[in-house]
Amino acid sequence: MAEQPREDLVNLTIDGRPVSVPKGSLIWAAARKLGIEIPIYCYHPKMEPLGACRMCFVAVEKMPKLATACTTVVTEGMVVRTDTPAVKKGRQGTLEFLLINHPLDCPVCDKGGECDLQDFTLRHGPGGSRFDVSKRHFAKPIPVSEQILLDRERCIACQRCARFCQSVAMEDGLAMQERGFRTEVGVDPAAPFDSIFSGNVVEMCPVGALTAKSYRFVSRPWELKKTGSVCGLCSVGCNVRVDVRVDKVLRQYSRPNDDVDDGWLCDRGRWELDAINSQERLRTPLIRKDGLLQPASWDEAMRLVAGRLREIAERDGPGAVGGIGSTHTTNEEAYLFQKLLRAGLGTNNVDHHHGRFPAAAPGAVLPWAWTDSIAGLERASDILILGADPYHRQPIVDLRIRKAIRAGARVHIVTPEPNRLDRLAATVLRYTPGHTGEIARALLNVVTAEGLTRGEFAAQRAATVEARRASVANDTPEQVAETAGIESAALRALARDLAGAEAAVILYDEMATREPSGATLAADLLDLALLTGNFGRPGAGVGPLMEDNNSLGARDMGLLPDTLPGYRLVADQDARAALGAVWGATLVGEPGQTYEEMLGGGVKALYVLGADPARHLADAQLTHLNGFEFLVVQDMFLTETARRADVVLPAVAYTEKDGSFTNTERRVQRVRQAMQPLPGAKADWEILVGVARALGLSWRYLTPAEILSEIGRTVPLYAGASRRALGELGACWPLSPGARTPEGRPTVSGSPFLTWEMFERGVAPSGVSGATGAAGPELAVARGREE
Amino acid sequence: MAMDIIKGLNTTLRELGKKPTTVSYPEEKRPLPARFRGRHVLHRYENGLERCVGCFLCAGACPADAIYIEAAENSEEQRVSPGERYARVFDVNLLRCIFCGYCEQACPTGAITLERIYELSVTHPEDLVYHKEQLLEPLGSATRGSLDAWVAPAPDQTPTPLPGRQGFFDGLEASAAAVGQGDLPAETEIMIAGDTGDPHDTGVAGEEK
Repeated sequence: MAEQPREDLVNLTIDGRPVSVPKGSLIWAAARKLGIEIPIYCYHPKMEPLGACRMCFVAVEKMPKLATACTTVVTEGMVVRTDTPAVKKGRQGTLEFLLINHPLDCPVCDKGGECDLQDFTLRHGPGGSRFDVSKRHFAKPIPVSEQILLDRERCIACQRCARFCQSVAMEDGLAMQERGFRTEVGVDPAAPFDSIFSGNVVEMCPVGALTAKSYRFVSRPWELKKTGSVCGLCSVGCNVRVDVRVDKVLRQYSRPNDDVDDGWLCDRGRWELDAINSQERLRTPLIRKDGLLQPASWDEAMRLVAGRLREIAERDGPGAVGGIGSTHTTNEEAYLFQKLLRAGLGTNNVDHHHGRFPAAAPGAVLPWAWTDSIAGLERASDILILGADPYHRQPIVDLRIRKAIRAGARVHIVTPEPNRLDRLAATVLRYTPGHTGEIARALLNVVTAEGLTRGEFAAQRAATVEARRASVANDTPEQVAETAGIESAALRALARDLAGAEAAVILYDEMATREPSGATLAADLLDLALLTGNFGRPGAGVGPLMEDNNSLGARDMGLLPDTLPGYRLVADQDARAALGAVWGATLVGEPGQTYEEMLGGGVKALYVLGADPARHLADAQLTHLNGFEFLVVQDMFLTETARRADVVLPAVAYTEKDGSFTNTERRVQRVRQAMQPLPGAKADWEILVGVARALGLSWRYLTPAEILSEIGRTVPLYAGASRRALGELGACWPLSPGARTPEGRPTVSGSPFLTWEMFERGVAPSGVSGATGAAGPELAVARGREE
Repeated sequence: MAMDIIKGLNTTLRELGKKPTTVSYPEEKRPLPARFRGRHVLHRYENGLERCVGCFLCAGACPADAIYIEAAENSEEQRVSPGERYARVFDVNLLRCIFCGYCEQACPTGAITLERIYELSVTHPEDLVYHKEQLLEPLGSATRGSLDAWVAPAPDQTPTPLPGRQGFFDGLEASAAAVGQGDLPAETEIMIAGDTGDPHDTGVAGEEK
């Protein structure tokens, strides 16, 4: 965070220690900065102060009574004490009251051990009670949602949960009912609590009143091994704490990273961990013998894979082998996989299942990524959601959009299906599914035809703007209204809104580009942002919401037939030579086969890593999968594809290995091993190293950190990346090495938003890039060729 | 030299007439002190329900990491313990156990005690991992085990922490009641005079409902 100017700081003393905090801070935050604990229940740093629980009493000089630290704003020269007898007595009194009715069933309470009421009673409490009447008893537990149980006896009425539903999730859900000592949390039966963010109320409940069904009586906090990592379910990459007991992941808790998740986590990330704990997981390599998949040793399986791949490559040429990578594996594994195929087998036949983005052209680097950041949404004045469903697919981005709405942003929802944000949106437009691309072109049509272009970028390029106008001249909103069934006047108004917006963010779904009309969707929307000046500053930008946890990383790492890691073209001789020198191999300059070409039978031997192409294929195409001479599948489960394989290699889940993921806002973050790998299975990178060594390559990676350091040296977008440099919070690419910390830890600095000047420079700040930046940035369609 | 021999034999002769210290085990067994710490026993209430509520506190207190528990939820059809929670799996690895007795001190319900059971030799080491069925006292028996030898008797006139329950203060009974009502009746008196327990009844006469 940037250093605050001195005049914006307020000086005060707490318990005799001086501290300076920004204007408008609360006493609680100032004390926290000094490491002084002020107990809180109703206050939550991510929500507005309430001052209901009276737990955070402090003594402020010249104030006649005790003040609540969570509602009192610091003033210059304030003298605060948290340790006077009056403060202690005040806190003890509050706790004694809270405990009148709170049951002492800590031994059977799921919160016991991580409960604020327990902790604060121990540290600040009276140690005894003068109330010896019966406690209240209610029927329990009451389900308040599919996932959450309510125990009303335990509730201390801090209202955190109700305020979360109301002001953070902005949805129906928990609310306070009744008054006085009968106050309790409840749900209106007419407005059920079915939010995907519901798990956050369990985490923020300071007592065990709200508990999770999936974690009910499963463990106690002191039994858990807690590891800070990154969630591997969707492309948001929320920072999590993985809680493991013995050999099972029991839950994920949020690990606040304000730039990514703002301290929240969705229910999928929190509880949908069944795949990791599944009994169905593969525990031994399988080799097809006599038509059946039979258990085999790792050594035998790896030697067979290497032998057969080598044999087919030598017999029919390297072009006869190919690989399909995964959007779930780490960057390190994606990098090794394409390195194995490119350097080890001499083929560019490597791809994965991804959205359709125009291919890069010589001299221009086109990383199709969100040019702004998740945190940048808060600074947007307008947010366009085109054909995407962040609530279900990238939930925490949806939550950030809600925060942006609270900050004043207008949201425009243009989707085929009803969207959970409709209720809060300024514009809601529906269209026939499959026509997302036409809508993008219609928006571009309005902007160019009505002369709504603005900004330096458009001003300098009159000729290309004119060319662009001509290319979408037929896609008028009226035309598109007919085919896509959308209201043309509203579409026109939307285009004008975007063109006139202070700062607009345009988001679309990666998979919308796979629609028949989506071939140029990414390019059209990028141009729309460039021409309307919504580009290159926080709160303005354009980009896809990616499909999986490492969809972007897979592209970055060169799991594409025509680009090397870091989007350098395979045709680029300098890039090939530079990378070849590091890899000790001569690389082929001919682009390889695409995903569809390989699966269509373009190769004889196929290596599928962590993907299940059978899922994406029509039944008629499934027979192709049986047609491969040699099919290797590396996965956690015996998938549809794996059932057809000749060799199946069992891999482990993301909680069982180290590595890094790149999320949809380009942030490279460390994934850490939280548990022992499943016996019999190996991490994908380990398997790849084993296969490479069986192929005769001299790979000497002992840890994923070594692979990441190599990526940091060879991939310009990831320059300076290393396990230590990425640290706890990660950074958005393009990365560049930073100065070392005083302790000697290397650092890396990221780029929260992309500017068109970066495109001009070829994004690559240094390294082996062959990007020449010869002609400067042009509009996407002018630069790119269609894939 | 001769004196030394006589001196030595003197000791022998002196001990010759005494009763030997050794006992002829296993025909004969030595009486054990009340607080002897042998194998664990899991106790029941008089109504047959298990005292253990699967709270993991014994496992948390165990310095040798000898206890492994998996808890589950009671249902109306299948009630194992009072309250909501019970131990579905309760394993004690007696090869790890150091018989320190911390588990019985940690237990909020007096469910686990170390008893005077010391004949634990087996042929296979895995047989020394005792499962819940082996540790639990048989149905029909409801003892407190060595607990009475450990818990000091309550002083006279100690106020009771549980209204409606006569008797001396007993930490175990109090916390057992909190975690699952123990073997006490679950109904409690109405807290405020005139309160019917109906949340819509404001208790004020004449007020519109």
